[in-house]
Amino acid sequence: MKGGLRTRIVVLLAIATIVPTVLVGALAVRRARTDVRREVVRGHLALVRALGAGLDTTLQDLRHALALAAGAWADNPAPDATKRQLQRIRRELPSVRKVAVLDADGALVAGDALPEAAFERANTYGGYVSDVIRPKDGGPPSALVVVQARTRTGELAGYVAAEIDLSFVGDTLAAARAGAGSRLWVVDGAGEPVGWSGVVREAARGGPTRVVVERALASGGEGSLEAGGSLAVYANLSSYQTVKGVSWAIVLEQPTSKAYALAAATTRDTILVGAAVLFVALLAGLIFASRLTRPLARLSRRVEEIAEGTGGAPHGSAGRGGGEGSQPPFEDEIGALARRFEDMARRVAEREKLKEALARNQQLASVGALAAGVAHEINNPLTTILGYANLLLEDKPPGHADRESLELVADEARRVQGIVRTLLDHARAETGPVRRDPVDVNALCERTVALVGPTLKKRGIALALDLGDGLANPLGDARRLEQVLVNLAQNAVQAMDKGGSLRLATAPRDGRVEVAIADTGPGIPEELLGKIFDPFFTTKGPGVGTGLGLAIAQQIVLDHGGTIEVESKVGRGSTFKVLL
Amino acid sequence: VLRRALFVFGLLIVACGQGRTRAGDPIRVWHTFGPEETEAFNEAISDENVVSTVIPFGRAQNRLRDVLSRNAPECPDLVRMDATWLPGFVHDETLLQAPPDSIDFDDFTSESLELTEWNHVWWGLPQTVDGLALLYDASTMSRPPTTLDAIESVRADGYWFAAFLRASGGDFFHTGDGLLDVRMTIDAPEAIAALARYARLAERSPLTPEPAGDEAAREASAFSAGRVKVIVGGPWTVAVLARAGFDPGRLGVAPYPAGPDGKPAAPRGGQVWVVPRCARRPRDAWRLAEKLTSADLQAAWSHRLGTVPTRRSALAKASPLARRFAEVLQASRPLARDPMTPELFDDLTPAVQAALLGDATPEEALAGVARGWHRLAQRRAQPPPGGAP
Repeated sequence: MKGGLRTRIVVLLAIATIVPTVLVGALAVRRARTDVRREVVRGHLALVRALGAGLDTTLQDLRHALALAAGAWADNPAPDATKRQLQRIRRELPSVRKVAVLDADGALVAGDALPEAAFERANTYGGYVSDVIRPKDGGPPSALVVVQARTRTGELAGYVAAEIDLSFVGDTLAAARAGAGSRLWVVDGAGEPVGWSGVVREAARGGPTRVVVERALASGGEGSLEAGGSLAVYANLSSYQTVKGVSWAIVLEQPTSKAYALAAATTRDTILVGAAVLFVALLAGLIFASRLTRPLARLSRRVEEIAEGTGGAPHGSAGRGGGEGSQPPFEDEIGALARRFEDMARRVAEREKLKEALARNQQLASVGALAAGVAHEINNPLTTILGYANLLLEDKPPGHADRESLELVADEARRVQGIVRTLLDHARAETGPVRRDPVDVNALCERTVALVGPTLKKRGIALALDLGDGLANPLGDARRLEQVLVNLAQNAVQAMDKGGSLRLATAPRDGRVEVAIADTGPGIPEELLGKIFDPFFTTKGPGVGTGLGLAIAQQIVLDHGGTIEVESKVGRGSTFKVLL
Repeated sequence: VLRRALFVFGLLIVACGQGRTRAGDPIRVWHTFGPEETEAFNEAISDENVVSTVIPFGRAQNRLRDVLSRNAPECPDLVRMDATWLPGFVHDETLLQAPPDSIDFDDFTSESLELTEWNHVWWGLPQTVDGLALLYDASTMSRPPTTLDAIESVRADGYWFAAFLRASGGDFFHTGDGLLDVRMTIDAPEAIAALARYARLAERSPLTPEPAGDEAAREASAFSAGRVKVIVGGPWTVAVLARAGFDPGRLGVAPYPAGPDGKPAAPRGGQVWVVPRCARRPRDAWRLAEKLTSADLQAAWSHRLGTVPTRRSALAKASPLARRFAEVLQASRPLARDPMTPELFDDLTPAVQAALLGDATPEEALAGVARGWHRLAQRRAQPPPGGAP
């Protein structure tokens, strides 16, 4: 995965959050929709079932009422009784538009004129409910209900036939409490509307969706389906129920958008909650990733610093939430890692120092051995040369023409002798044992000042001696430590060929003694600071220095278990600090 | 101009299409199946272009007669009807003959083919065979019932009484040797005695006849509860009993007792698929009928619904219960194959009800039936009276 760690963590957290949230959300939405839809369908079916039962009861009651009247007429067919029965039917059954009594051969006995079918279809199963009759003038539909009039003994005496105004079907539907946007129809066996809900009376004349009608009439029971609307624009939830005894069906259609409004609201709310949870989770993830990666980034920077060699010194804690040098607010894996890393950096730095010191020691040892050999081989002939030069000089009076040359030979021989002695000193410092006597550092400083005092005066260099009180007396070789101070002082003097000031100070530090020798010379360029303790490194001109002074001084200090540091700024001078 | 041309072209297409059958038109099927059968039927035609309509059984005969005689636009292509109705529709010349060339009639049982035959012609494909038998709980009765007195539930229904009448030595009509030697015997002493005995059985029964109620469900409930041990029913009763919680595996099926002369008494009938003359897609209708009477489907329905297959090849794979019904129904006898037969029950059933409820003596009740049947016969012999003036 590309990108920074924080980005990757955020992406991973996002995936880890989004996937379960989406899955759980989808499952919740699906379950909610399923439950709501099931309840909606159940409600629809309950409504059409109730309406179907109501219509069936109405039709049955009608038939029973006519059958009772028919039975009464069959047992007492007297004209007055017949008239009373017809009046009673008209009075008690307001939906009866026409009613007639026929004899067993179909001849009209009393009542209204009715279509021929009233008799033709009456001879089976005790009666008949005809197909819906639709007046051509667009009036309310009607149907014929014919019942057989049988005597007490079951013998056919005739028929009572009635034309029923089916307006009550529409009235029943109009009174039904259907949901928003719902439309209700009762269709006959041909799928033609018998009645419809009053709310959408005009619009509903076209009838329900054809496929729903077909399904309803084919079911012989109840059911529900989703199908296109009359305009094929809106999907409808359609439920149906057949009406017992007749080939009618009740159809309820409701746009799915309204039927499932609760499901849609549930879905929307779930999505909103899911989105909010996602947002919070991602925000928390972002904060968490930032806090997690901040110390890691700091560690990364430290690694880069160490790799570039500029970060060897240990920093403050790199624990989470803590700035550099501040304490971590709490310890955790990352904080522990940062702390351990700093420890490791510190140890690596110390190890590097030790390695450098070891290499330097090895270098100095080899130089010392070489110097000792060279000095041994040179010193004898040099002593002879100097001795003969002095001897010849003694024979030459002042002003002799050879005297100047002989003095030059003697001077150069002595200079070489000095160099050889220095080399031997270095060799001895490298290889010789270190004495362990208490050393009065202040006394060493005073002797050093005494030694370099004349030169200071000669060069016009001011001296400041600032000796601390109550200093400890470190164990060591006073003579060799004096050599260190003298070397450093001479180095400072040589750096101030145009005058200046030299300050020699002692002070206690961490139970030890620090000696500082500061000059106001030109200072050492930063790029050379790392090399000044190397043997034979010098910035002085030819014949001025050997490049061994600082190397010998450092070696002696290290042999005493001390440290020597230098602080220098170009143009402002240098300060060497020796900690013993 | 282009728009007008397109409009005229459209009108021509519409006009030319009027009254013709398009290949995409569905096959219209009307049937009288109950809820369980309707569900199975709808599954069977789910891969067909079919629009089916359930017609309540009590209304179907009249509605069919109306639509088929008028050659109405809503005329169905295929109809499932009771076999007793078939002669009447053939008499009215509203059905097509079954195409013998394309259908393997040899596979149908003889009992089923008689359902579709009238005047020596096959008019449909038999869907199922049914009839009355004695049903008992085989888990509580070690031996099947064999006598009329074993019957513990009496239906106030002419069809049920017809079986009892024939088993008691009576009948609707007596047919002599001559073609016209037919004598009505519904009011004969044997019939009166049979109805009296039937009424006594009803009095003895734990179930009082309730003509206005759902007798089948009430009877099934009592049978499931063990309140009645022997009832009279047909293959259709299996679904009703199952709905009432009775395990069909416990159902015992025994032949309805024969008459004194050894003649089978129980009426045998069934359901047939027929194609009306007014069908728009008769060829497709016969193909669908053949599919709906295929051996596999009949065998599957026998297991699912308890229906008795009409094909020999289906019987071999049918449920044990259906095979038992088929075996028992061989010892039954169809009612008279006559257009008037279905209407006979219109008079008989109210009379039986009156007798069972005590509203009429058997003599009074059956005398009324005889008068009604005479009237029916006279009307059959004459054109319709013309209805109301």
